[in-house]
Amino acid sequence: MSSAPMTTTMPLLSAAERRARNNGLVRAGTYAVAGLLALWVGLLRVPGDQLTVYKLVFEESVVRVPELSLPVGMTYAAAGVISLFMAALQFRAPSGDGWRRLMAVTIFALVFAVLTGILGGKEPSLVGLTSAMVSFALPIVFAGLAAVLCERSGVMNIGIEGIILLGACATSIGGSLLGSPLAGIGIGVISGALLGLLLAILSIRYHVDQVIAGTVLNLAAAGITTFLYTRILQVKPELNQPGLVGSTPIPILSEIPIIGPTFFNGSFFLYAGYFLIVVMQLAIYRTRWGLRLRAVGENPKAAGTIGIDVLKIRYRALAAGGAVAGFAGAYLVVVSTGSFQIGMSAGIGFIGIAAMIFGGWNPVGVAGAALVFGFARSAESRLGTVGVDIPTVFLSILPYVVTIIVVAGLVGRVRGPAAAGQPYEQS
Amino acid sequence: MTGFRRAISERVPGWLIWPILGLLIVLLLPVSLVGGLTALVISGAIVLGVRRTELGRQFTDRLKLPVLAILSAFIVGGIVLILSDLEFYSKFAADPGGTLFASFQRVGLAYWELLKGAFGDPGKLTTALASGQPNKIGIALRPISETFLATTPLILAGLGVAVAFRSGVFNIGAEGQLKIGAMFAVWVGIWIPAPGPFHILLALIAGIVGGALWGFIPGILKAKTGAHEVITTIMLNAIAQQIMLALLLSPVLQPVGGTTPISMPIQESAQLPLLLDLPKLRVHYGLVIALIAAAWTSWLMFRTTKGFEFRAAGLNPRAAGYAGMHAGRTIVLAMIVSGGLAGLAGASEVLGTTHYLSPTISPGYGWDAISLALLGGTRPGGVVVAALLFGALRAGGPGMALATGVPIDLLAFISALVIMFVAAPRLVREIYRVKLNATTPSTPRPQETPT
Amino acid sequence: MRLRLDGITKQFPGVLANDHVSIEVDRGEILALLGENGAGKTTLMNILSGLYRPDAGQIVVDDTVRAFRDPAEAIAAGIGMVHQHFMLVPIFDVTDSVTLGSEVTRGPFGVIDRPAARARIVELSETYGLDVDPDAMIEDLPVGVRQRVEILKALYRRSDILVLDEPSAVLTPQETDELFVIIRSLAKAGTAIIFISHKLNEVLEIADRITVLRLGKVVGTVVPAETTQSALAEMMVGRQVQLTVERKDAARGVVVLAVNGLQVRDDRGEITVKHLDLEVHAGEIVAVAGVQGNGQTEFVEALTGLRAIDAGTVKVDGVAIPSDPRAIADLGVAHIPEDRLRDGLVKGFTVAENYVLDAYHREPYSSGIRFHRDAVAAAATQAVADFDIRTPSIATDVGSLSGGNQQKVIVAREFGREVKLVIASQPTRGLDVGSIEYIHRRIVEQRDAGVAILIVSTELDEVLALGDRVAVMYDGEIVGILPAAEATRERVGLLMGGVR
Repeated sequence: MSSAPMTTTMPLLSAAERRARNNGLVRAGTYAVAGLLALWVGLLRVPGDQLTVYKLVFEESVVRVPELSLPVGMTYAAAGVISLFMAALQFRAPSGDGWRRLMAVTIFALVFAVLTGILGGKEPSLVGLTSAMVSFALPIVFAGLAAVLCERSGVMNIGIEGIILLGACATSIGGSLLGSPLAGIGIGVISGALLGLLLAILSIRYHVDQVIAGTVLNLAAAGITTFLYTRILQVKPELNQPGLVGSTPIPILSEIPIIGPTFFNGSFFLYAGYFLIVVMQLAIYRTRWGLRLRAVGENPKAAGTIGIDVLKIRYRALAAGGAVAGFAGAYLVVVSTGSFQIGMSAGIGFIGIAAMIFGGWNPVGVAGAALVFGFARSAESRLGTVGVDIPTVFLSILPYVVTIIVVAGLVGRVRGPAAAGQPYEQS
Repeated sequence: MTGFRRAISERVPGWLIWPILGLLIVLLLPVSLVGGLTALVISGAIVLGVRRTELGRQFTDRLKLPVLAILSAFIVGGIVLILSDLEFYSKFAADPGGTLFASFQRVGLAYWELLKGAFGDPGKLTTALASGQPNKIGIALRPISETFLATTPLILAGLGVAVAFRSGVFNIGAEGQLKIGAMFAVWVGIWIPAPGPFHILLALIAGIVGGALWGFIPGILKAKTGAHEVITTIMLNAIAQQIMLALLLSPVLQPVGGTTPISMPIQESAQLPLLLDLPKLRVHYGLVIALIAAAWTSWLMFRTTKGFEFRAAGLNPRAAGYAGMHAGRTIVLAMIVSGGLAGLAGASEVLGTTHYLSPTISPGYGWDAISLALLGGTRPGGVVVAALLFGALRAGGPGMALATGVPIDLLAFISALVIMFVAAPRLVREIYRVKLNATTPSTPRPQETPT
Repeated sequence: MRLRLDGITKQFPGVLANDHVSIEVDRGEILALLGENGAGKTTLMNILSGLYRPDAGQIVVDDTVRAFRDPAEAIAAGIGMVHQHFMLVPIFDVTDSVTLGSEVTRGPFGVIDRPAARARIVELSETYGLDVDPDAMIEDLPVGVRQRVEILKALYRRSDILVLDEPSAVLTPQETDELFVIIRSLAKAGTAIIFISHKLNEVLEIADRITVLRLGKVVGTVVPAETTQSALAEMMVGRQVQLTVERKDAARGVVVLAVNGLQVRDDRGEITVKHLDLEVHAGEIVAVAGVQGNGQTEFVEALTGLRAIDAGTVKVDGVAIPSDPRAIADLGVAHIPEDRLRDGLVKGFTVAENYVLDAYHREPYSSGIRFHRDAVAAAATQAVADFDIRTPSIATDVGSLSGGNQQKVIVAREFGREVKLVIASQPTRGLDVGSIEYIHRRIVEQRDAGVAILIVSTELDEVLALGDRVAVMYDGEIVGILPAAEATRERVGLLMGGVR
């Protein structure tokens, strides 16, 4: 034993464990740096008397609620402290499972601080901010749920973005032709389901690589919708007027300050979203359908040998996922804008996939992740009115950066369905 | 004659003849039936002649899938074009036959205008050459010059995607890599003072470095953390777009007092020279760079140990690791090369074509790159040919739109369909009842990589 | 319940997997289906379980002709399969795994009635003495228990005909004995059992009748009492088979590989190799026996630089090994990995490219970054001749070769250079008898040339046939090392089960 370079005193961990630990430490470090930065800005850079006054109600509201005055410096400092605290928690258990919540809280705190800072001296509406958060989050929720349905069945659906876009286009044309936004929604959902099926047919029957199939769908959707827009909708604008779906406040709940107008004063899409989240969560973990779906996504061969029709389950899951994505497209048209616009999906499909991963492939998690992304977008859109600034870029790339961090930080901790992305051949 | 017929029926499945014949006639009807038929006979004879040799047969077999894929995409595109004509339905009810014929003719005309827009009018060219006036020659050559102009970034980006695919990395981030490359190049072009050729070289290198950096990120993430490159490259595309917009609106690139997101022009010393000194011709030395890059890529992939490692890691990263290769390093290096090529595409665009940077620097070259990498079978030679085809679509599109009012976006749809058909040999086989050999373009399977 | 397969024929591209195969099994009877790898046993069972459809022939259950369109119909007809590779979802627990596909539900929405399902599993487990915890996660269970979960799956579906495909492949001889007890009690209770195996001794022990398959055809059916191992082997292979490898005594030289206190972790961070000591001398074969999953994979990966060493030393010729696979190979270590297509070869590469897979960066195959294809072709052509690799050309895709020839490509690559130490993991898994004989001969040749050889195998027969010393690995440790003379099936078997 004269030379023993292989012996080492440090307790070594396996590659996966080390990786998870390293990623955790990187996250902790990032939070700490961001926290210190926020503290520095808050305590030294911002004039102490600068205030941002958040109005807690819409102007038309009858109930008078006091305004929320936040000193910008203190907000930054508080966000900094929160980030540092999260960093400490993350540091204590670098490879623990609670990282999602830590990350979500940190992002919320920092984004809110940046927002407050930029709006310094103004009087923005807090309810406007939170309700915008929900309306940005909602399509992401649908996209994320669609992604969950597909991926749980073992099919990686990159094409959700395209389905949303085509679903929006179909909703607009269908709604205009049939003269009712509701009918348009129906058309949007049906066309979404058909596109989901198309993807299933390509990837299952014709063995097209799932990533390529999804990419094709995205590119084809972008091409065909722009084509239709220029060729038909521009020529006959009356075909791009499906009408709008208004809000239906829930009687008593919508009167609660802040929470009411944020969560209980939306169109029926919002309530459909709540319903879908709950139903899917229960269905995936408690029912026969969910058990089989998960089995097919984890080990399709095992499911196939005991007589489960793997392909049928996948076809159905993709059709359902497509329908939900089409619903997202319909939402964009009949709630957000009232008409179809070129490229209106604006990356929601991709952010939905990110929400799925961030949310750990389960519906409730997706909803939480979508709120984080929705908040970032809402903050960004508030700032858009102030004028373009470098921090806006950071906000606009935030969902993408978070996604990359999440995707990179996952390994060894949380796993998606094992068979996702792999073709299954029934003899 | 019977020999000829048998030759046809033996080598080309009977089924196949009709769609091809039909399409060609439809295509050429607006121009000249005689010309179309002559072209058909000549090309048929060439194919049959080539197939007499073993090498030729292999070659044409390999072409079957891409050719059929393109054909199918154009047929579907034509159908969409007909069905999207709102007047078609009412007219069809009144006069089915006539309407259908007229619609076919209109599709043919659109595609014909596309060809003319891409390759020019042979008649015009001969008269122009005969006249000897540079202005006329320039105008006659302009379509083909525009095709080569669009082909240039497509070759480079396509090579980048092909290198990554071969190495088992599904790089769909060429779009973002191209933009970052363009940004780096334009920055050097604007701000770095340097003499002529050296300035160009510096800016090109900057483009390569920018793209390589944007390829390195997903590469290192995949190698170190196992992050799926499809997700990360999609996200990096979006990030690149946002960063570009922000920089175009900041003093880094925007001229003082500017309001639109358009950069200052690059210095003259950084401009890539034009290939032909004729009026109206924009094709520049980027094309030469692209062809050199293709040759270099071919050498890299098949004549070097690095290429051997790339290909091994692409086919079986685990076995590559067992054989002593470093799968992680290989992935990172492949992504650097891939991103660098895409970045060079961006550099060539700003240095040769536009001389400034704007948000529309890439009308989707990065996405076309995926199609043509697959269409070209991820081989450098195939990529060049496929890029020429996509370049022709890009260059011919405006002519088609102008002459027939067909929106140019039809072509984006068609090119998406091309990928679909190329990636679905089984579908093509089912439609045309042809035998396709198993060596259809291999699409890499994203794999977990041991590190 | 009585099952008859009548003239079953199944053609795959290029292979006639089943050629008019007829077999028969009655209730309470144990039929063994014997054949080498590739004889068509698994295809036949996949037809029986509804995964494949036969091109010709029929399946008769209790005198009615049945055609199974999918596994569900086969299951409904009372046929239960225990596949060689377990068909379980790792992240499910036992209850979910067993009930999957035949779930107990209540209400209109198909909500799973877990208490009811669980109760039934507990009951079945007790009735047949299977001893399975209904709440355990599959991924936490040892293989032996996973197999019992598979049997539970069949029982839960009230199967009258139970098919077990190579069930002993992952078990110790003692666990196999326990399995046999379960099988016999099931047969006694009236279940018809088809036992698929290529192991002669097992078949003779358990079966009431033995049907032998060769190249997709039934060669004959015999009763154990009227046959012997060598007669069965001849039926199975079609010629006289030498059951042992002919070899001289080992001429043991200096220590080449010295492993001291080695500790290694698996991907999940568990310590799977615990303080392992082992020495291999020049000119001897040390064969490591052990049931799959006792740390052998991690052990070999650590020796070849593919996995980090937690603690301890590994020395080759007195030098501690570097942590890089290529540097270890440069010390003169050859490695035949356990799964040829997964670890050893690159499908899509030619035979020639695979031949230089670990030497492409050396002279004469390359200089600097330049790769010389001519030199590679010349060397590969020579290797194809030297190692009798049956391939149309050196430019053929290695994936299209037979398993035996694929393995020969690996052996040619690893033995084609000067080596001091050979580490061979499962060197003959899934090969036909001819290829097994060839590979074994080559390994013994290397030993006689003074190379130190470490074989890691789960095939007890292989270990006993080749090892000059037999080491047994159990739960990450070497629990015993026996000289060939003392390494009897019983002693090694006990050690494999952890009994010292």
